[in-house]
Amino acid sequence: MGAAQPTTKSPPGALSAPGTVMTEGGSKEAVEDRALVARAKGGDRAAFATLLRRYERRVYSVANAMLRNPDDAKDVCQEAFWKAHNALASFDGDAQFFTWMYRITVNLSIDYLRKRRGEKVEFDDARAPSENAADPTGISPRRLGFDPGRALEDRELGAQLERALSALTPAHRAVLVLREVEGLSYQEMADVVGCSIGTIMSRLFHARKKMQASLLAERDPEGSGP
Amino acid sequence: MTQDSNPKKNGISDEELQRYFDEALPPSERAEVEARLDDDARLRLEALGELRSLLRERVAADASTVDFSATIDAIAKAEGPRGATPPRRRLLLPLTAVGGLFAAAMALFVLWRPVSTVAVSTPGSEVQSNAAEVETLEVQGAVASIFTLGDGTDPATSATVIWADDDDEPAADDHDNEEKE
Repeated sequence: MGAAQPTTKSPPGALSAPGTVMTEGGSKEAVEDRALVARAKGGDRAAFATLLRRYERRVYSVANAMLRNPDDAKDVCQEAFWKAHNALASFDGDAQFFTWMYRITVNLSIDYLRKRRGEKVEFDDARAPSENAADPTGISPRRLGFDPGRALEDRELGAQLERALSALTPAHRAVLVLREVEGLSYQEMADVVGCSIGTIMSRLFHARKKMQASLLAERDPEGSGP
Repeated sequence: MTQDSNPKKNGISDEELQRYFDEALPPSERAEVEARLDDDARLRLEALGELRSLLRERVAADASTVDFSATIDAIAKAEGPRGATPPRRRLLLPLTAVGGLFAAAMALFVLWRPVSTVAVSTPGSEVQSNAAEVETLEVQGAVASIFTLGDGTDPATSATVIWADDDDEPAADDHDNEEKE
């Protein structure tokens, strides 16, 4: 790849068009979102349904990234849609709808993990000291060497990726998907997750590094390093 | 990201590299990092790009089969968003609130206003000022005032007057100097 890796910008369009470069904030989709939100707030049900259909897969991706269970992710998504429906009047129309929708999804996913699975979910750096421990390793220059065109057909790679993702904390998986798949900016991620940009960068760095290390270890148990 | 975990590699730190990769650097810094890119930095960027591609493909595949049509249709058929109010109602709500507050303030004023001094004048005589107790009652919109003129101990010099307003005019003001017999 070239040094200047194309990235998606808000609103994200990576799922429908991976690698699409979007313009900041002023995309056609963002303008349409604002119009749909205004209509939905005025009681237009069809407009609200259009908004939900537009983001259903992306919302699911975020929920599934955090929960790593398709059924749980579907439950959370349905709850998120109803919650958005009931809270639409409180949504500031000047904000990005998808950011608001992701925030609802992330919060519901955290609640889900805490209540139903009893998992401890830390989004606060002060309560996640291991993440900030001194670590001499950084981003690896080693590639995995998979064939991008055949990655989906590679079941072994899929299983390795699944294990690597599952080894991350929900907080790490969330920022990884929000950035790498949904293409949110640091500020947008900070708004969604409810923390500082510095925390987002830290989480993203560690998530990437851990993913690289896990996948390299799976691909090459002998010679892999972090 | 911490500085401890972010050693410089050939002049470009992981933090710089990540921000460059995420297009989060301002143009001037971006150009500066680009000028310093060496083989190691390029390899790290390629590794990051590879991970991104892999994740996108995987997540897109996971989400490709989800369908929330039933839920979305149910929401579309449900009552309008609970928080959403029609425009006309949105306009009436603040007006109603202001009206309610005004009515409450007026009721408190009527109930708690202090004892008044009423100046009473008799035709053909000079105006004299007597102390009088005034009670005002309001029942279902009708206002009645009860005046006790004089000291109330001597029937010859005292009188009780019940003044009922039978029209829309407001009750007698505290400081009215109207003659009431």
